[in-house]
Amino acid sequence: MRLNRIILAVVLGVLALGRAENVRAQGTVINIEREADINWMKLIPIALTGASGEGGAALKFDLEVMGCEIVSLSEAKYEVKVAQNGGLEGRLIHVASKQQMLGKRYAGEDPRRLAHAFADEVIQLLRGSKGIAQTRIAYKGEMRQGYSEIYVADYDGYNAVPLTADNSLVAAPAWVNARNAVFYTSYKLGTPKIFSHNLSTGERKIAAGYPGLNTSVALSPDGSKIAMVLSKNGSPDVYVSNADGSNLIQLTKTREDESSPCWSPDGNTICFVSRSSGRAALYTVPATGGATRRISTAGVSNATEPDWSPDGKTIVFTALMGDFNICTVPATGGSATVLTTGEDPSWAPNSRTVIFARRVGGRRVLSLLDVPTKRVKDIKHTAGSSSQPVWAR
Amino acid sequence: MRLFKLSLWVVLMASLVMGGAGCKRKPKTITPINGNAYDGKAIVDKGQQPPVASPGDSGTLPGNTKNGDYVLPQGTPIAANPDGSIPVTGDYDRSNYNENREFFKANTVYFDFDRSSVRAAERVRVEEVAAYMKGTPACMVEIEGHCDERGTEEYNRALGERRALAVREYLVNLGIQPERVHTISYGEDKPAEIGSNESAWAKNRRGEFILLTPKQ
Repeated sequence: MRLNRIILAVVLGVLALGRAENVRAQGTVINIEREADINWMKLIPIALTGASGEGGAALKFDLEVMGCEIVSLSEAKYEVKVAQNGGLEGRLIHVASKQQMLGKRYAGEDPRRLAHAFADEVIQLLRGSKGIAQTRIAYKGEMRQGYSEIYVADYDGYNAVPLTADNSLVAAPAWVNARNAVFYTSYKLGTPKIFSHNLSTGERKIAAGYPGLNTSVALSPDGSKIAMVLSKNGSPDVYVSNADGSNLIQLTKTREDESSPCWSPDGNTICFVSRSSGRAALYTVPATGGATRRISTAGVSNATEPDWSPDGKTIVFTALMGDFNICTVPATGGSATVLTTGEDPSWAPNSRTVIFARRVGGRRVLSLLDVPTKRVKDIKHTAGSSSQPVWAR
Repeated sequence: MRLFKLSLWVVLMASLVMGGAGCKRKPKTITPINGNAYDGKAIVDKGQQPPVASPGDSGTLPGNTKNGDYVLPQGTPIAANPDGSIPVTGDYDRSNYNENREFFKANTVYFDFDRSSVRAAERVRVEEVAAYMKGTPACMVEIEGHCDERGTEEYNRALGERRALAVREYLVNLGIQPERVHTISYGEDKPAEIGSNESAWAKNRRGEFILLTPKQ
């Protein structure tokens, strides 16, 4: 991880804060756990003072993406106060009580990394859940029509680097930290095949190279298995194998096509899209094979591209209803909630933020969605068209 | 080809007709019938079994060929799964073939929105390709499946493959060997026409034929 390049120097009488600990100062007691519960569904009003330059901009972006609203000090519940003098010195202050909830100094060269590290600590304290500012994404970048490469980048789009140089078509990256590998589809060998690409060594192997279509790979949460779509038996169906391609099992056998399998966080169930009823709809099937079950998405139709939240509770997906809409539904099925216009959503590790693609003119850009507050922010866009984002988790 | 006297057939049949414990008994009546039975490749008079000689029958029973012979049904392999889909055949060395994208340009098949079946009006285009393929057994064809932009990317990649496979199934049902017909889906990645209107979408929902001729 890049984190080890950051030297975390903790100074300034840091309060050792566990989630449930109370902080006492000036006679006021702030119950951190209660604050986190109150803050969960709402935008948190924060005053950001002393922030400047690239680090300041990164901190502001991080806090906004994670459900904070930057307001003036008089409207703020909390103040995030930073000083950037050869590093980053950050404090979190409860405005009403003037009490410091967090104070840390970070030493390092990259102001963005220091800001991300501090933002994650602020959010951990305010929401009681892990921040996402130090995570990464992979996506498909199309620089000219019909030619695309897989890119990896920080979650905010910075430090984007192409992983492939296939001068061909690529699609559908999948990323599991446990394997430090990105899997994706590439047409480099003429037909679409699934590759595994080791991020440490650069070595890549074919994980699925059957005749016909090989695409839509998804890694099981522990990284040991892959689900994918293969057409070798005459129609695009969902299959599961070990991550190296061995021990292949066919999970669906329909005449119509299936697409976009994803895993439940316990690794027991696959959710996927099938046109077997005539229109696209979500289904589940046990990962070891068995009966398929339709997931109701009441209120919306043409559901595609499901992604199961890491906490297991919610499936985010794309519904086509004139426009593409990002929607959520309880993992057991039920009433769907329309969140925003866009497609191909992927959950962040916090089960709260979603990255998705948005069509702007003839191209696509990547955006972040804070699901409880429905706030949307575009990430840094370099060039061309970016789509099929997937969060490393 | 295996050949045996039909009289043996009649002995067997007669014993069966006499039923039950009669299997081991020597049949009392044997009616000799002219003609030979072949275990042939072609199915002649599909569904028809050689008539069974009953005790007391006399004379000869007709065969199912002009000379009185029987050709027994052998069957031909079915390429398709029970649902009509046809397994994809193995990869081949593309470098051994020249590709011609223009040859079947006029045969491009267009699809309805979100559908993968070959419309009745489009079938003649596939039939023309089949007719050409029958006359050039060394050639192969690749079908590219494409979609309009009104589907999500991986959904379209699967739909494009299903479209290409539907065209392939039609070609195979017209008598083209499955191993001569290859498919590839580009989803929405290679539109024929850029644009977000019905005219462009209709042109992009398509199956294109690429003629593959062996290099000399």
